[in-house]
Amino acid sequence: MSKKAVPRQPATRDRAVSEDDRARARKSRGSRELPSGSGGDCFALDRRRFLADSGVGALGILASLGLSRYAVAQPPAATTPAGMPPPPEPKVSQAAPLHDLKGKVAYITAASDGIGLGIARAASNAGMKVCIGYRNEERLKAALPLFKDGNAGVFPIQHDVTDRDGWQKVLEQIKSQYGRLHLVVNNAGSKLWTPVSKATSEEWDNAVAVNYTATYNSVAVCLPHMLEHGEGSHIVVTSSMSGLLPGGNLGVYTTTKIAAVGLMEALRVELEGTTVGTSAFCPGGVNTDNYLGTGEINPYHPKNPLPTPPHPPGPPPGMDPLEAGERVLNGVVNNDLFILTHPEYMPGTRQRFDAVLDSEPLGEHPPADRVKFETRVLRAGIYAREIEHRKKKRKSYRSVTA
Amino acid sequence: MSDEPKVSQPPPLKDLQGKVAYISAASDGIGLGIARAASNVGMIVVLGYRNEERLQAAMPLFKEGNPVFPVKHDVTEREGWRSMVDQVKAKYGKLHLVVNNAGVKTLRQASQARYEEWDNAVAVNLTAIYNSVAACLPHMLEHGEGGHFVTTASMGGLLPGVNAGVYTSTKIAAVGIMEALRVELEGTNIGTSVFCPGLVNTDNYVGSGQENPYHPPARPGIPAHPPGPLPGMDPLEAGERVMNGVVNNDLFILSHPEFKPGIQERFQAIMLSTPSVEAPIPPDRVGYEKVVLRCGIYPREIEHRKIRRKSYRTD
Repeated sequence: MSKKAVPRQPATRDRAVSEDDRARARKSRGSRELPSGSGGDCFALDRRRFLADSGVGALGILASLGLSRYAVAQPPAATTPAGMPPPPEPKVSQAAPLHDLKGKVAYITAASDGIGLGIARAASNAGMKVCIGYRNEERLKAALPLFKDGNAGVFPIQHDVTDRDGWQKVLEQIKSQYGRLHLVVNNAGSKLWTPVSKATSEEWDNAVAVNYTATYNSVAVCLPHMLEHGEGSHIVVTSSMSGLLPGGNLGVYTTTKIAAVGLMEALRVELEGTTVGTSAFCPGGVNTDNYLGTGEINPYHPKNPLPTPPHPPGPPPGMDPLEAGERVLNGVVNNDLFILTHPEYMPGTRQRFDAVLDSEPLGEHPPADRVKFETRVLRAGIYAREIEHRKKKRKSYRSVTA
Repeated sequence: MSDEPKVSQPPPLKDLQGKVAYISAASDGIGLGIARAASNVGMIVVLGYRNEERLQAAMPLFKEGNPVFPVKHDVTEREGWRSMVDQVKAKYGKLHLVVNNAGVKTLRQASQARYEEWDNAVAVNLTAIYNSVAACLPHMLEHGEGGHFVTTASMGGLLPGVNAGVYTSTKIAAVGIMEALRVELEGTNIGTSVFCPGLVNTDNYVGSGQENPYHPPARPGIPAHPPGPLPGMDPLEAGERVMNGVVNNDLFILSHPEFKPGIQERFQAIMLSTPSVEAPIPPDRVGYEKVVLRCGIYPREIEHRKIRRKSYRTD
């Protein structure tokens, strides 16, 4: 277990200090630095990775969006108000409950196409018994041949995720088929690209039911079973980078995806001491029908009012759904709270975080007795532990299932 | 991108005097603090309430002669929202400020909540905000005098530290919907803010009931409320900070800086989850994703925060 804090050495940073940073430093002068574990340069590692990994072309596009500064700039100086109690010692988060996938049982909703199919195929390839939630018979028929070995072990279940009785029935079917359920991937999603301010109440209610409440439904039904059988288990939700960065005029989608991420964080807080892990999967562009412009609900569809060019001819530009699925499994065997796959979104995401942090009142000193009373909620230990977790060497699901 | 504004929209509701505010669940707690602050600054206050007794206790706290119009209203009822708007229009002509303050403080774990508890929390803490927009926004756009939507979320909406996922996840959602609305409404004369307070001295906080986030049994080792004056923020001060946020059109109205390190930790955990990619990011993928790679409201909010701030009192 690493006990060293994130390095913070403002004087020896390798980049020029911008005017903004000086202003921030002036603002925060006099305040002491963050306690260890909450390092001064909280985004440094990410930026280094980003710079190392980015193609020049990708960086050029980010520059055109005004984000290059965010890919390289110094973060705001961390401030701690007086009276802040010392943070709890960061420890690594729970050991991955589902670290060996072979022979385990997975249920993936909406897995007859798109990202769900990619996750199901990756799970099947890794030797899991895969239960496929689907609604459309034709799509299911097209999907089944994509599984190896004559799709042995693939068990399709027709299921609408908003139907709570349906969840109960799904669990019963899986139990009678395979005995136990270990992995639930809440992949079904409504991709309705409507602003909140223009959505009808039916549109709103449906998006909340599918993108948010359905994940709660899965927990309500499957968690007791997972805790009962006591073998390591895991719950994943397929959110989106829109769940971390609500860009684009897609409020119904972004709000419900943000909610889905928040639910997985809340569940991590609740379940950390148990045998059940949780992850929020937030992909960017993946080559699904939705993404490739074949449907009206597609954000990149020419009919959509978004200022995006139609899909050009040639190979699709996004991530392959199977690769997305493999990254999800890697997240599961590592018990990553956030499974992120598209680093090009991180400068924009960091802008969002900076906007929040910059909104904290300046120069105020909270009363010590108030802070004492709030101690319990001032930190969610899961994040400190996740930060430590990210410093560890990562496993590949292939190596543990090989 | 060059023609995009650098700073966020100017505050649509910078002069509060004589404007009409609707605050839901304003018969006690933070809602009452916001309503009193609004009334003190010369706004016409439409006070949403459900409990007659609490309303009776609240009314004397408003200064004599200030217009306060109580409307009985359950925020989960869409018809009720429309009827509230109609009543306000009939009585005062226009509605300028909507504060979605009603909230469920059920501190249930998402992993243990019953269906009714979950549905109710989602309906009150999240969908009610959508309801308010659906019912009030067309009117606010129509009268054209400038309007503002505020949601009372919580620090739990930025840092889910409480072991109570029903509450924290719906509050995270409430923060998200206000950000989404800012994206949508930035070009209009309707502002949006989300208020994320820490400890405020409300009945819930005082620790009398199971609903109280600081109620001891939820996690061991936490002191129960000590005798003597409460250590949290006064609800009226919380209300004044909300008013300051409105006249500045702050996207995030934060009032408790002691949460900053914890929030920063959460953001850091997310940033550190960025994959260390084996291959360069394909430029055509990035080009394709352009529309959501960046969300203009945040750089504008960062610029906005560098600007000298107004006080709602001095205006």
